[in-house]
Amino acid sequence: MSDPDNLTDDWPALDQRSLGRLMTAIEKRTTEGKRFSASLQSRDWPGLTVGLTGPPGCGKSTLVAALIRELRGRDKSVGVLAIDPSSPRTGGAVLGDRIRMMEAATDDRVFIRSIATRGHAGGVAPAVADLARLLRAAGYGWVLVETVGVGQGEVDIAAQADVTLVVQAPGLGDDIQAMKKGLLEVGDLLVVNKGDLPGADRLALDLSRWITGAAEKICRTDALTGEGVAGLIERIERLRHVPLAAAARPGARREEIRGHALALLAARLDRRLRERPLPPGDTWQAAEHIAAEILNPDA
Amino acid sequence: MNHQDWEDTVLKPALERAPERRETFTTGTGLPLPRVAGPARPDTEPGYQEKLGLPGAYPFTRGIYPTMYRGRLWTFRQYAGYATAEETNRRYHYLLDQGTAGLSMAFDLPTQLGYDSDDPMSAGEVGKVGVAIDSVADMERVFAGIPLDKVSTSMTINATAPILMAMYAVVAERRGIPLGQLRGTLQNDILKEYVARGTYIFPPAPSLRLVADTMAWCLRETPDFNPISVSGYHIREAGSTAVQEIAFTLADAVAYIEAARHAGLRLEDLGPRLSFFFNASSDFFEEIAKFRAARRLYARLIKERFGCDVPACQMLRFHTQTAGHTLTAVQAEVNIVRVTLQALAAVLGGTQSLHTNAQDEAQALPTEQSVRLALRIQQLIAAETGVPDTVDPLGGSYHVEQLTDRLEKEAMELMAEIDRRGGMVKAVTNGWVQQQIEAAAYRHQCQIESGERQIVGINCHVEEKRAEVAGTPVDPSVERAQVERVRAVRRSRDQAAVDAALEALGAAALGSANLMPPILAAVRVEATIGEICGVLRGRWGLHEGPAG
Amino acid sequence: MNESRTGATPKGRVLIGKPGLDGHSRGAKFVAQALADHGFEVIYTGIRRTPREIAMTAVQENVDVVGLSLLSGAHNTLFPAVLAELRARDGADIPVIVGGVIPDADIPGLLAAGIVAVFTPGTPVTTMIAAFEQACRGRNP
Repeated sequence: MSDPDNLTDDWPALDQRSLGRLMTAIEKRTTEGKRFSASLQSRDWPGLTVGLTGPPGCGKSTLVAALIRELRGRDKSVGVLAIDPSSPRTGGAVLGDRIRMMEAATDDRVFIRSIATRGHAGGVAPAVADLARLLRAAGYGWVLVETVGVGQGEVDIAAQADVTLVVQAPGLGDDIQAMKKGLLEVGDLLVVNKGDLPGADRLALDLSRWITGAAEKICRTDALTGEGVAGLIERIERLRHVPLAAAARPGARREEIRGHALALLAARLDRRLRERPLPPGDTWQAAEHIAAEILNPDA
Repeated sequence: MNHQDWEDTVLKPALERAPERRETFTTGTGLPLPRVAGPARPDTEPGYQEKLGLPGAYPFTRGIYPTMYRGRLWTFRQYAGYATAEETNRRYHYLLDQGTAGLSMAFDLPTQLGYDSDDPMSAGEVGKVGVAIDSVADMERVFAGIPLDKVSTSMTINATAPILMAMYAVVAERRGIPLGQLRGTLQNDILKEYVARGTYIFPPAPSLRLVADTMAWCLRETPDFNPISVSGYHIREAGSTAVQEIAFTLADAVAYIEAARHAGLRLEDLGPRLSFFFNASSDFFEEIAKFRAARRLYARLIKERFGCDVPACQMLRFHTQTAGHTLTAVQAEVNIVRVTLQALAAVLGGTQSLHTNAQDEAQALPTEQSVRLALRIQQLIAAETGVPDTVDPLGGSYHVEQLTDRLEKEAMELMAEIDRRGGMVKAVTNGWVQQQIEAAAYRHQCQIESGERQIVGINCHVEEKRAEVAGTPVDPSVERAQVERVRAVRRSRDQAAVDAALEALGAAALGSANLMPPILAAVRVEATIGEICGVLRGRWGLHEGPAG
Repeated sequence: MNESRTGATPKGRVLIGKPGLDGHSRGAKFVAQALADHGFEVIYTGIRRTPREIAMTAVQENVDVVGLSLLSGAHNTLFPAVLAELRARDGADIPVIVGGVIPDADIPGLLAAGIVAVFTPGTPVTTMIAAFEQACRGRNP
């Protein structure tokens, strides 16, 4: 491949085959991949990264498909990063999110990539931020990042996206108290999907009661019919022009590094716990011992 | 109902309508055979009336008719569906000469999915898994010389069922045969397509409307044609357990009954015409118990959930096919043995009609000889084993009754789970049903791969490692000829009439009137299946991908 | 399969899909899950995909191998069509492995057209996984 320093002008000219290969290099953190990452991180890119998170069954993939359709109708190019968990036991994964998007993605102006978490402790793979930058550099101005919605992943996506949607649907058996309020507060918009189901009104009401500032953040959609999706896009666009929500958010880089560091530490901890016997003493002592090992490996 | 009442109100009228096949039935060496064996004092035997009862009476555990095969054997119904209408016609004449009573139609994938043979989506698929039907002219060729008022035709067609039914009806119309004389069955079961078979077109809501419209039209115009065959066969083929086969099939039936009532049909009118289609797999006693449990569960469902006391609505009438997924490519002759035992289970389970797979059916369209042998399996069971000569012979077996109870209980629990999830349509749309089936399928296959589940020829008693796959070469000129045919139809018809009919159909699709009349109108002026479905696709959209 | 592979890179990225109109996905789903259990990342594209959709997916996902399943008899049309679509997108280097109801007589033609391996019914899953492993190793030495 060509010299990455000269690539900055060429990004939009990359065909899908090259883009796909670049993404692999970045994910694997090959020498080339790291150079591309550095180059991509060195400047801001036009466009918008939207994170979508939410529990299984809330209709994220269908909502992404509806967003793609609506955006293509407005002649926008769309990139999608669909993240699913790898099995911690086997290291493999079945990535099937793109099935629901394929009817919407009929042309070359949509680029969909499936990403497995590869053991990054339930979170969003660190490479995702760079992949989103790559898509924007290549001219896919809207990048939709869909994550699993359990554990650390939700918070990570908020750190990496310009606008974060937290998607909920009625009837999933969660009640508001059980939901992580912190997560809901992190979202820029709360999308109540599957508006046709009974309980959608109730859910919207409960959300606005229990979460500070929720009432202004709520959007109602029915991803299957497309209802509410145009309105959702308009609200997302309004947010990007609010100074605090823009990509130049102060501390954004620090948050991103913090997320990567935590993920790397969690991965190392997992490995340590599996590979070697546990230190003696009670559980607190053993934990302090291991933490010290990881943070001061030469001590 | 006590024994005397049963004899007076159920048995006697049945015998008057149709006497049994013989005056007396005896064993192979002359001992007398009872009509239905049971406890010495059925009226006082604990649980007997409630759980078993007598054949032909609620809850129908022992059979839906009082005399079962003593009165009439099950129908021998062997599938056929070959590349061209002419070949299918020839095969039908052959089968009728050989002694089958009913005809089955299998259609190619473009026909099942509403694409004309010259549509780009049809490339390579025309005539491969069944006959290609683009317009009513093809239907006429399939049934050339076949008296539609004398045969019973079962059509394995779902998403495009109303269109194929309309074509069949128009052929009858053109021959001056009153619609009321047509007999047969439409599969017309769209819900299982989303979870097991994959030949759906539109989203669930308009698809259910088409199902209801077709049922309503058939009830009125072709009362001897079963407008739906709610199917568990494919669900089982997709890898489900026996419990799932029962529960998902009956839950589909509940959804259809509700859709029908929503459209103004009464269960009293629809019920007697609802038919079912199950799988006969290899675990002998589980399968027999499955059929009995399904009968009892269905009868209870109709009575308790829908409050309907009409016996004809409570009876689970079903066709069975032996399990395709159990056939092996290696040692194909052994499949004959598998099919025989599966067929026997279906007969002991009280099926109304049966298809026995040919030994080479897994890989290709079977040869004439293997089809004949498959038919002989049924004929032999009927003629030589004595099994049909007494009703529900395994009733009362501790093992079979306990299995029946267990299967019924677990199926009921699974149906309650579906209700908790908002009903079958929701559970299908959001992928839950599919996930259940996939998990069962995966477990089953892992057991085979590990050897835990023994399959002769695959992981035990192995001879050759690999079977030669002969296949049935489909002549590539078949596709070309069919493409030419549909183009010729388009050239030679009254295009203005077709345009008008399609426009009327499009308008009707947006409303709520029954769609059969506008579909019939379009079929009569030689509109093609692709054109008709194109209009509906335009109005309703396509169902997007398998859920889950 | 007992050792944990947390954080390890997968053995490879594989596309599993069904071209054409056939909707019977049991076999394809089983192979997809079995490959995942053996440490592959499997992009499962489902049923009723056109050759174009399959090729676009393979390229965007930069898979190491494409696996196709087909039971309807349309293999002589659809498998070469997938190869052609891959070529048109600069993806001719991605090996294609196929399985399904494919008559022996058709296998030489498919191999000559560029298909790497053909698996017929009854092939043990271990054989198929080994073929995918070999194809992935060939691309990630």
